[in-house]
Amino acid sequence: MCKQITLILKTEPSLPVEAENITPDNLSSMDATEINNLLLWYGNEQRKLSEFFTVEISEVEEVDEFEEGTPLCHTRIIIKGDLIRFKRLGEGMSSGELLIEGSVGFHTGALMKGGTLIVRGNAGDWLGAQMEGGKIIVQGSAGHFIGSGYRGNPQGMRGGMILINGDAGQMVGSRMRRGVIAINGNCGDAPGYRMLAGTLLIGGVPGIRVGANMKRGTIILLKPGELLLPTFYYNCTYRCPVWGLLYRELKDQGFNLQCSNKDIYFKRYSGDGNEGGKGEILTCHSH
Amino acid sequence: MARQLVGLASCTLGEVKNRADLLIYWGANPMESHMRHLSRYSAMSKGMYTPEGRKGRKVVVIDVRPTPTSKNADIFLQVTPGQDFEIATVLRALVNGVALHGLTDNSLIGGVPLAKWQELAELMKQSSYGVVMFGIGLTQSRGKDLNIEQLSTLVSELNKFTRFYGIAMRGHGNVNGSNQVMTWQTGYPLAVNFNRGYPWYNPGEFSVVDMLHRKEVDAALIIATDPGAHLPYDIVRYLQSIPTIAIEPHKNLTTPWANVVIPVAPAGVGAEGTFYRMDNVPLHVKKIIDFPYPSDVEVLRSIKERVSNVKNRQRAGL
Repeated sequence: MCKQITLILKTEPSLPVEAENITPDNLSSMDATEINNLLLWYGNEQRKLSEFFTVEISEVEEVDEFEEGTPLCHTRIIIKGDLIRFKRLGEGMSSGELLIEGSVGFHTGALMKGGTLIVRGNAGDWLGAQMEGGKIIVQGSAGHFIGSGYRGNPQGMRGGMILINGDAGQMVGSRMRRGVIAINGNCGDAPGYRMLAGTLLIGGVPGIRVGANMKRGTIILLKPGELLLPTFYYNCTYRCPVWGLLYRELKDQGFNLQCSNKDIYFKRYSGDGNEGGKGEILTCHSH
Repeated sequence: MARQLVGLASCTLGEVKNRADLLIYWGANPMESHMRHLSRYSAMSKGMYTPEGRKGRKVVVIDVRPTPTSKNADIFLQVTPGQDFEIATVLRALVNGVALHGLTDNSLIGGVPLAKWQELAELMKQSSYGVVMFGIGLTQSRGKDLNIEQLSTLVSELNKFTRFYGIAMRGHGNVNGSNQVMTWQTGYPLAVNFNRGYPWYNPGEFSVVDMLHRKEVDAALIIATDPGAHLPYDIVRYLQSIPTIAIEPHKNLTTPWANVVIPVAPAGVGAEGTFYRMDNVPLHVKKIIDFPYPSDVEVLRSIKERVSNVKNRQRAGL
């Protein structure tokens, strides 16, 4: 049996609410009273969760879609409403499912270690910042610094997967160390800035300075935009063996890529020369 | 912000005066913005190891348009706006001997042929004490802090060959002071949030413009600055719609619409205090004449006392 907790927003708050307490890990063992009394930061004071949300708890039977017949047993939180003013939702979560039926503010899924976070609307900046595991799916667009590191931290995302169906802001995957970020739409300047490793896929047109100062890792551009920095060097045009695997994995996750799996060639550029040149940018040559 | 990630090899203006034989002004026009800078500290000044003054120094200006500073430079490189990051990237490659495939001497980088950047890279490596001074032409062009990050890395890498330093050409009186004090008190230079009772730093989230733009503020205390003159129009309109208190020695574009204006004695004239110069050197300033108003410190201290009393009463349930 899955414990399903539904939070329905009463009215949009006028000040930002920091709601890092709302994670499946925290709420799984709580009853309705405890959830209602959960404290959230509203501006510079703490308020009870019941001031913002109506809480409903139910139990549902679900079966694992990958292992037929195996019953699922986890906590699912469904939050309904426009949560633009809510920050840090699902921060540090390690299991369960958090479904946000609307748009959400900053730091959603930051420092996440496991579980699944789905946003039906748009997400704010620092989505999945420094996350270590789990999966984030955004059906709309997302802001700047997706999967990046916070200021002063030399490493960004260290594992997991972030899938954005719409557009993304600047510095996506900045300093990312491991994991996969896929963006179906366009993205802002400097994607993969100072990237250390991992995979970043951009389906739309990227901004300038793609992969600037990257040390290692792979950036895949399906619609190459402006010229790459002069410290990236053309190597070859080839059929990338990893592409098929990545394509299938993304398709399995319900990610709608605007290209086919077959007969696709990539131009491979290595760089950034200033940082040792061990990173790679693959630009789609034909499909 | 850039310094936090990659650091910046820096020096004082005294060292610039006494030692520098190569001065690069990048996105800065000190002839108009820092009038005494060239004669007291840099290009024109005569120092211990630079007795010839201007004749003994090489001056390079990198800017998007000719300026009074560029007219007095030995080399002026007029660049395309918004290409500073690419230029710093290429300079890093040239300094480190990294190959730039597909580029010839005539290839344009930031609107200037590569050969010119090669000359500059050689000049930087051959200088015995080089300093690059960067201004808002670099910090406010596309890329912003990333431009500084790349330039700071270039400066650090040049230290493999010679002594090379970077200095930010900070504008306005004591604009550096708030960064310095904030850093030694909280560990962070700007955009610090104290909502939870401890400092939390995040530029882009807690910087003034961003918070006001998202209307996350319901009251503002403005100290020794003029948002009416400096912030974007929609943000000023929002500030006008919330309670504002201005602590300010002069009439400015903020004081007419601030709900409360507390006049204070100007620092360095009617009150003593510490100024931080653009090279981070603290300078103590004395009080010259008596003013009928208290200093900023006295006003802030009494506000803090009153607020603490009110909060204590609230906590005690009185």
